[in-house]
Amino acid sequence: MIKYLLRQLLAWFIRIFLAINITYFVANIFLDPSANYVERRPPISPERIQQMLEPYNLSHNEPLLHRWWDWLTGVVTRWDWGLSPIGGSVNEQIAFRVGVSAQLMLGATIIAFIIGVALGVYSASRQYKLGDRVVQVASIIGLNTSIVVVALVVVFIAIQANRSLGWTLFFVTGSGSIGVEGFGPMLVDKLQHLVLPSICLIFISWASYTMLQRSLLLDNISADYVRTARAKGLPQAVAIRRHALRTSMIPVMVSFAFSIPGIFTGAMLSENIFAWNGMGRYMVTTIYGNDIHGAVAVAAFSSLMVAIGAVLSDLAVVWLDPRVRVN
Amino acid sequence: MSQPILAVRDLNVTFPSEAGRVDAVRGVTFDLYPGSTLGIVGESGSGKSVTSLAIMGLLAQSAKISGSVSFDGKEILGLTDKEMSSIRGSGISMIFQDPLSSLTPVYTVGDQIVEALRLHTNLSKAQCWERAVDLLDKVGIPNPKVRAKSFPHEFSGGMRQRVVIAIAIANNPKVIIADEPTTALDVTIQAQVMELLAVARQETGAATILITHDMGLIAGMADDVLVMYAGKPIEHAPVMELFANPRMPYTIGLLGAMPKITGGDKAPLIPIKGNPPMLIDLPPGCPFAVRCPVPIDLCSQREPSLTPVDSEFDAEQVVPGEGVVDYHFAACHRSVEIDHGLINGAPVYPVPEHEYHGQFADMARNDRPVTLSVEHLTKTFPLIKGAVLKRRVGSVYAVNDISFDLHAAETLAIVGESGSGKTTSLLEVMSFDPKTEGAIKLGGVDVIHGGPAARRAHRRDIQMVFQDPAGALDPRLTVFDIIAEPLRAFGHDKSDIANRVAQLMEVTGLDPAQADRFPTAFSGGQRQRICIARALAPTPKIVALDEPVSALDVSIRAGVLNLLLDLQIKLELSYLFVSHDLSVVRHISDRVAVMYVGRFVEIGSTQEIFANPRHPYTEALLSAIPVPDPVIERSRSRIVLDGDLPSPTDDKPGCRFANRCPLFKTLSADQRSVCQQQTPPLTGTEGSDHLAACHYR
Amino acid sequence: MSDVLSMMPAAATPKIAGPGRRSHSRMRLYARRFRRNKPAVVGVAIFVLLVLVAVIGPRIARYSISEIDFLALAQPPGGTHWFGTNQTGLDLYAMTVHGLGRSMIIAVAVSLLTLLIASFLGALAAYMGGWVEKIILGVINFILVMPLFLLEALVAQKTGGNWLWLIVVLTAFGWMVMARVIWQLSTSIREREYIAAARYMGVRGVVVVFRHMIPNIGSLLVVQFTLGIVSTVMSETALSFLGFGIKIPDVSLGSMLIDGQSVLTTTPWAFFFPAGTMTLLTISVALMADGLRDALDPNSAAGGRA
Repeated sequence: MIKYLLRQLLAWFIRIFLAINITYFVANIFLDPSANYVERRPPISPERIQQMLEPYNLSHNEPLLHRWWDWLTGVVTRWDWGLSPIGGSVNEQIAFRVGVSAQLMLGATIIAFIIGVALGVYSASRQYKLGDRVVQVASIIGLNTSIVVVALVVVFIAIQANRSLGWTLFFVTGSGSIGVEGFGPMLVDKLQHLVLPSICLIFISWASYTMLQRSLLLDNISADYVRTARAKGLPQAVAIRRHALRTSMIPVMVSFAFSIPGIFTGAMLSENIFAWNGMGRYMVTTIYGNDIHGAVAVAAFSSLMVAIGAVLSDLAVVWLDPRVRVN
Repeated sequence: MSQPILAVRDLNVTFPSEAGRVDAVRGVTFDLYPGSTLGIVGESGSGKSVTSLAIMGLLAQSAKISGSVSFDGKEILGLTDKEMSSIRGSGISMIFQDPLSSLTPVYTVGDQIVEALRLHTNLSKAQCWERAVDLLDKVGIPNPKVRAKSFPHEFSGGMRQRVVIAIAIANNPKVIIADEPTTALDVTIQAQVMELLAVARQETGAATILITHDMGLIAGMADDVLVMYAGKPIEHAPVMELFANPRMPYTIGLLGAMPKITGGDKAPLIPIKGNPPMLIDLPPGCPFAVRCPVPIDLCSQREPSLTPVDSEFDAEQVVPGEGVVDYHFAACHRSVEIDHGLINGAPVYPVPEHEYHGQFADMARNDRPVTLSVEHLTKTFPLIKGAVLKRRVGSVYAVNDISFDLHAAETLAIVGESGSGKTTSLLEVMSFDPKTEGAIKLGGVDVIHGGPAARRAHRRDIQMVFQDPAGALDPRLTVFDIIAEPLRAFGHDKSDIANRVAQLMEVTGLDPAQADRFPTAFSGGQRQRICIARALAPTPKIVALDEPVSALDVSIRAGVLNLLLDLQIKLELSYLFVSHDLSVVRHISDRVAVMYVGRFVEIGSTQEIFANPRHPYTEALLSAIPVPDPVIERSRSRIVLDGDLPSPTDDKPGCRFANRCPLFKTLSADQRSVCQQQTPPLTGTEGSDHLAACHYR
Repeated sequence: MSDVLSMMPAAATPKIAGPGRRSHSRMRLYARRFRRNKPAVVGVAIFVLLVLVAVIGPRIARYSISEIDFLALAQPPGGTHWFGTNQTGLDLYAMTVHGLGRSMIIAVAVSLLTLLIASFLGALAAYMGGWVEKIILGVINFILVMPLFLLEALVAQKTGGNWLWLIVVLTAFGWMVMARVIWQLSTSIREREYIAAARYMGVRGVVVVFRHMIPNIGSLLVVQFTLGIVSTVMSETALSFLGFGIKIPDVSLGSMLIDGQSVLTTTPWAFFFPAGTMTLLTISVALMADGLRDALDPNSAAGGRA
């Protein structure tokens, strides 16, 4: 088992390493930090711009391969992911933003999972009845509505609500207000900021769990071993709960395990709409700011999270399913 | 013992379906007495399983059930799921067909037995666990203390069925319903499980309902027999009476359609024409009338009810289940006229004409040309361990150094249990894979080492018919395109193709007018005929048949077997026939090779092998087959092998069969060490072609 | 033993029904199953309506998408501006119908191109097996580790909002998942006995692929194509909304949402018309995909006990 894990980790490491370096070159082709200064008044000469960028390892005065090597040695030896075109540390940005994203995503991901599984079970147990059909239609809507639309509708409603209340119940931007002190008030303030983006994230992500849970449970309800369980003397509902549900939960849990690392990579669109300075928003910011090192760090981070998700879901299978348990 | 433990009266079950209402069970009535065994026999769709599920209250909610089922004097039809739950498992328990899927994969087998115990007793968890280990011991699981903590996937199919039986007898039920309990198992395992069921019945004193399509099992196990057709019981009698003097043409046909392991060879079987009806909108009259050889006008007008066949079997005096009691019900307007398979002195089913001509008819085997010769064929697979953690830990010797010759117009059957490597051998011959170890010669030419041109040239000489006709036919092609496919591949003209397809369809008993239909529009037997027509299209010399009738119902089987024999004679085909069913093998083949864990353990003429088996495995295999004759079946002694087939993972010397061999157990220590250290070669007496691989036979 | 078939009793009259009307009955079966799925029928109706709007809509528009009406800034729906105007005085009806057409063209083109690449590589991997399969799957799995959205955004923002380039970008970074799905299904087809039978009959590999494999994954391809449309609309919206995709002077449904947030309270119609249209588009296509999946599934009991 350990040997297998180590081999997997090595394979992932190689893939991530390649992905990061490819991204470095792609980013260098498509992002040009000097463009940030082009519109400056008074104009700055191109030579001067390159000079200004030199300390950040972004200047064209040095060949691309040199810059790449310097950057890579920085990453490998000092865990230094480089500087932005205005000299800010990428490491600091990431460290701070990962936390912000996690604040936003953690609750929403867990709630979406619980709602999704619960509705999946409900809907499977009433197959072809009204409740099932309603859930089915709702999940098609949930899966196929752009989060931009959802977010803006939610914002619209929240603004109307705030207006009719006469005070701000929901904050439509930011992750927290400045100057709030004390545990109670801070908690309330956090919730006021969290509620809207959470609703949006839950709205678009519960349905995939529902669909999966429903179809797996339906497959398992008619399985032979559920019939055996009933033949033993278990009432139908108990037989389904103890036998069919337990078995059908495995793939759902595995897909949940796969999605956990997504918490830290953030939700790009909702972070932008609700102005949360998380990883998702950082990615957009780096592209707009021609921040090559920032963009590559985002890429590295998200590749790492994909890898962790894959390993986690492998572990989840081994842990949950005795059929693949390795002795 | 005068009160029935289970009394079923006029049980009817209907299901809604897209096409209309399905009348799955129509008027089943029987009494089951304590300690007795009722056999319910019928083909797929006859309603036998639905009957058992209706008694258990396990049918889907959409099923409409009427009639009466009383258990221990109480009506149980119409009880709520909760009320039924207290009866299920403690009063009536059930054993299902497929042991591979009837245990929950995520719980240990111990837990699953404990669950059954805790539902109906007040024992503590620890006591239940103890009892579960006892039960596992009782059903013959070795090392039960440890194995109770294992998960179902760590058991073989036979072992899992033992666990299912342990669950079924855990609470000493009064009735055990066994629904095709051995159909998914190999014959030697089937013998073990049937023996266990008999023991379980003795221990619990439970009455048993044995549901099966296998007349042989019925002959050995049942006291009374209920034959079902199209959802309806059509004959009901004590087992001896039923087999000795069936009074309904369907029962007669069913018994006549089965090839018998004790019977002669190659005499045509008596097929029942046509297919079982759909149970939707049944027309008035007897549902068997269209297939019946002796219908009268009344048969299509009024459905006969299940009534006593003679005045001597008066319904009023019938006390079924009490020893040998004379009662015999049949649902046939003409049952009075029928006696011992004869109707008014003539056989109900006339024996089909069967002519044997052709140039090889009277030629001795060695004078006929060799069409296929296989030398030292070996096939190994890498052995991979772990589902996530995959690594090669060795080789599986699926086929281990087998050799045989196949002559013109001859059938060689390779028999063996699942995992013996018989199908792999066939596929290896078919694949023409140049990487194959050994030689495959068609008409003397080595095709696998002869380069692509030789392979292509000989492709048309050997064709194959698969076990599952549904999987072997592309659902998106019409029958015409399916049969034309090999013709096109071998470059026939367009006009020629149309003629040949029509010819082939006619020869295989299909209606050429249906050439534009898709395979799904045909029944199982017809689909297998399409497969045969396709295999014959390129005019092969050899046809490889992989269990060609095992997916078919008994009454359909006979027709396909007759067709195969007929075609062999007309077209002088060599058949390479793979099967686990020895009665079919006995019927169709000239020579038999018995395969065990990748090797031939015995090969010889069918006559020889069946009359004088030399290898202990062949002996056991032959004795494990149930014979559809209660007199023979109850008088013969059976060799029941222990354990399962070993996996062919290594190629160490020694006899593979030694660990299960009954002969081995009687040997001295010195003799045993020979078995364990030397692989026995295939040997026979001088000049004989009957060879066996055993040191002491 | 030249031709043993000739020894067969000659079929006197080979009355054989040629392969003619067979495809009809099959299509009718699909159509019947599809029609039974009410939501799917509604989906088709909405989708057809949207196609008509996208085709005819711009022709009857009174303003072009770049024509500023200085006399009607931020005007609510009504009058000559059927959907109202935005704060710069652009006609929202003209923009919405144009944006709908733009989004549709991009979605259909990307989905089609993706399908071509994915089915070629997926089926190739499944049919060839061995090292070809290993390489194709390895490449797919590797690309899926890459930060795809970042790369899309990087390339797309450089191409200045040209919709043709956007098609290229979305296709280039979007075929992998579909290829894996097609590979998976093709491998299960590869194991079918009729494929083995065809091989034993000497049918050539290419013929096997076209006669047996592709028709049998055909229904999957149709469904994948439909689902591809939805996912493309979503990606296009995401890119355009963040400013990397379609840009002024061109308009797509996604790009129209950009200033949705700032004007939500003042001119909500500027948001609700494009948002509503887009949602109708994605959901109607999703309903269609759902209906197609059930109708084309050979094993389906056609929606259960319908």
